[in-house]
Amino acid sequence: MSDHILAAENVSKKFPGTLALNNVSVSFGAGAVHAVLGKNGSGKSTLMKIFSGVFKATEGSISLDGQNLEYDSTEQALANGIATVYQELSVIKDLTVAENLLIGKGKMPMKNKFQINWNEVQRKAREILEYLNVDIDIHAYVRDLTVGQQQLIEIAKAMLVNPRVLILDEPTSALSDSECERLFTVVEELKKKGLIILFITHRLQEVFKIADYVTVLRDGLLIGTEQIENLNSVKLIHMMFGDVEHHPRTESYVVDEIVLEARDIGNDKIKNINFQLKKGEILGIAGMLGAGRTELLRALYGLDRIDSGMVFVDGRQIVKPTPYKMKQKGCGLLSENRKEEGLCLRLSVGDNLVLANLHAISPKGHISRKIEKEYIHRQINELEIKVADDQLPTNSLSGGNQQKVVIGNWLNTKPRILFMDEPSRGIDVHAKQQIFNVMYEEAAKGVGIIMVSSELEELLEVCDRILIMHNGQITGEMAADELTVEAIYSLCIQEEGCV
Amino acid sequence: MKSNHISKKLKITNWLLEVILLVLFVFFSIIAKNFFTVGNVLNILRSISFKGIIACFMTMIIVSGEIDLSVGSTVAFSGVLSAYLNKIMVAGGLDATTATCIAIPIVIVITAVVGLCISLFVTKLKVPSFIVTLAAMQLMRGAALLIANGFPIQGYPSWFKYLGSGYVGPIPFPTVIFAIFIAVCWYIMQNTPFGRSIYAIGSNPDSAALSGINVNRIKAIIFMLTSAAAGLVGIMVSAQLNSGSPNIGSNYEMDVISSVIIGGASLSGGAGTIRGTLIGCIFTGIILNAMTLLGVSDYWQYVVRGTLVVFAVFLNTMVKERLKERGM
Repeated sequence: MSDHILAAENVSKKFPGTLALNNVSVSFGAGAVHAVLGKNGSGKSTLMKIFSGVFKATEGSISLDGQNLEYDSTEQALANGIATVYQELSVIKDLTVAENLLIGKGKMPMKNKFQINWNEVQRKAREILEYLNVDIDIHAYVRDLTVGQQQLIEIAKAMLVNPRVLILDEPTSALSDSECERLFTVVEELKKKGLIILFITHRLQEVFKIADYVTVLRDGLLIGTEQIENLNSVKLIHMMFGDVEHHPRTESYVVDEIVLEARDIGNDKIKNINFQLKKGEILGIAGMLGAGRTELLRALYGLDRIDSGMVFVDGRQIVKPTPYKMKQKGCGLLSENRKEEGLCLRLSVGDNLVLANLHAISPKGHISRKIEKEYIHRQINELEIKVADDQLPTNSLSGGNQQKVVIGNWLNTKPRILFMDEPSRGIDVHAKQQIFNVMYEEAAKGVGIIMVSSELEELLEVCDRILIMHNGQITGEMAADELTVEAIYSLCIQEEGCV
Repeated sequence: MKSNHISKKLKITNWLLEVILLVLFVFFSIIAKNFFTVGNVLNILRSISFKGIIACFMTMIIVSGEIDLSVGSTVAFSGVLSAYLNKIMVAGGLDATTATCIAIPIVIVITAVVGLCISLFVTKLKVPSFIVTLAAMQLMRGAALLIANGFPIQGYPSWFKYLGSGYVGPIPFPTVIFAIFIAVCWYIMQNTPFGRSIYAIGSNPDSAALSGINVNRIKAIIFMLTSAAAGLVGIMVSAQLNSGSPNIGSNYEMDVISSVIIGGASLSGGAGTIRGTLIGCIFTGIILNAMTLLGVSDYWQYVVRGTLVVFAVFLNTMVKERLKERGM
């Protein structure tokens, strides 16, 4: 029944420094759910963004029903029948469901130039929700809906323009199991109506539940499209990761001395966390998005409340940790959002490099310019931060250099424990390697490091030991050299039996 | 933070306000008789001193990304309270000098506590400082009116007047105090971990907290300092009037905030200097003084103040644009 076909032909997309998509040709038929899979940086998001008009392909073309699609905006993509529902919700919480559905230029039914036709608004809103077989009160305020219901509103909003293609970008990442079920019912409904549905997800269980076809991308290349019947998780994971060669570190700096211990730590995001970190150890935390990795670091560092359990640094309990207390004890946290929680972007590079060291550079109570310069230049030189003048504002630096500034700020404190959340996010390969080298050097000096990363290969390469988190709990612990990427991925998604 | 030494090439843009100030000064000296005389310059300095003292601390508040609208009412509250305490102590048998010497520190402490309360609402209950200090503004004015029961309270010892209208050599006493506060606050903002933390908090409170800066404590201190400074000014103003009047200090908050903004501080936090604030105060002082000398109606001063703020913001954003154009 594939009379509609969405196709990409020889599509390539170049970004400065990387080839995000490399000559990809793929087609998606109607009346089916196509799961699009790939690890981070595989190019799946780029491909979706080309379909939805966010990016324009550098080479190649895309077509719908054999008709070439040429556009460079999401509005035009929408006009051509391609609607996208993004992971980040764009609902307006202080408006009602009906208002949310119909708001937007040219969509609001009007009585005349100035007055909204509310009866028509309600009729249309009701109609579209009935069409999707969704039971939500159109008068309810979106603020009062669950995330799952809000997600359905987004889909309903997309369906109002009567698209032929619906792209769902990780729609389930924030949903509970029962909410996922409801979403799937709606997706099934839409499939029956003959839409082409592209479904992007990280969760393999969902793929087997909802998808008819699976398309896998890796490093910008199309690996293949398979019917779901011909696949199992082992095969799928292999398609996603390929034959990964990873080189675990040969030298280890672990000293048999515990620097940090978590006993039964829990709050609303994590529960029963128990582990120990040794001196000179790099401990990795793996898990899917929402597994509680970042939340664990935040709780340990005192950014989030801890409801139960105890944190020990050097065998001494830290009562009610706060960032201030933890820093005094020699801890530092590198946030995954360096712009929001790492840097003061408007302040200079120099200011940011001593942000956590203001008292250290003021031995007599006032800032010693000499010591300040020493601190700043030590890190600029050692981390090879590329900056013409340390008085330049930090937002003038590239992502990699910004990350080095945050790291430099912590290294200046001569930390003994570092929490590093996604230290390699959004930075180039060279900077990434430099940062790993710094981590090895610090470990060699006896610093205990906890590293969270979504890049599993990275964890295997950098860490001595890896904890697996799922649903806010630690569900496994492995030495890095016992693991493969496939094994760690299966552990993260909790699919036993496919290791 | 250190816009004054971002780069040596940009010296002219960095000294823009000072250059304009100088041009204005020369201009007024030419067109207004008596403008450029020792007496008049001292007059200008005296006129900006009271608000200037508060502006020093308001700079810290604004750089940290907060605002304090309550300072004007605190001035009135403190003036009335010190006069009232003085009066009841004298009625209780103390001589006026002893009573005043006891009243002053008590009033300073009470106003500091008011600042502490404001900061607790801001940091613990996460109420925006605009709202908290808007409420405090009404509450303090009300308290001043209630204590005074509508009339100025008298009965200060005769020497007390010196605090408001005395001279140290040729220089008005309030100006001396203003100069001391400018120097101290400048030093704090430029050279201490505390000052640097204020910039960090204003630029990004989350990053600052993560770096181990005790954001709540620092905010508490600057709100306390600001209220206490307003308290001190209230005492000085009441000394000048020789009575505690509940109607003094009206519009102080707006004038003080205007001066800080004219000096280049950003209401979104992270930017602003004591040097800028000093310039901002002098700017307003010079223009209003020249207008008086030139015989322009008092009613125009509001228009001028408003125009000045708009002009200054335009200048500051223009300068920023220029910095960006040069790839900074």
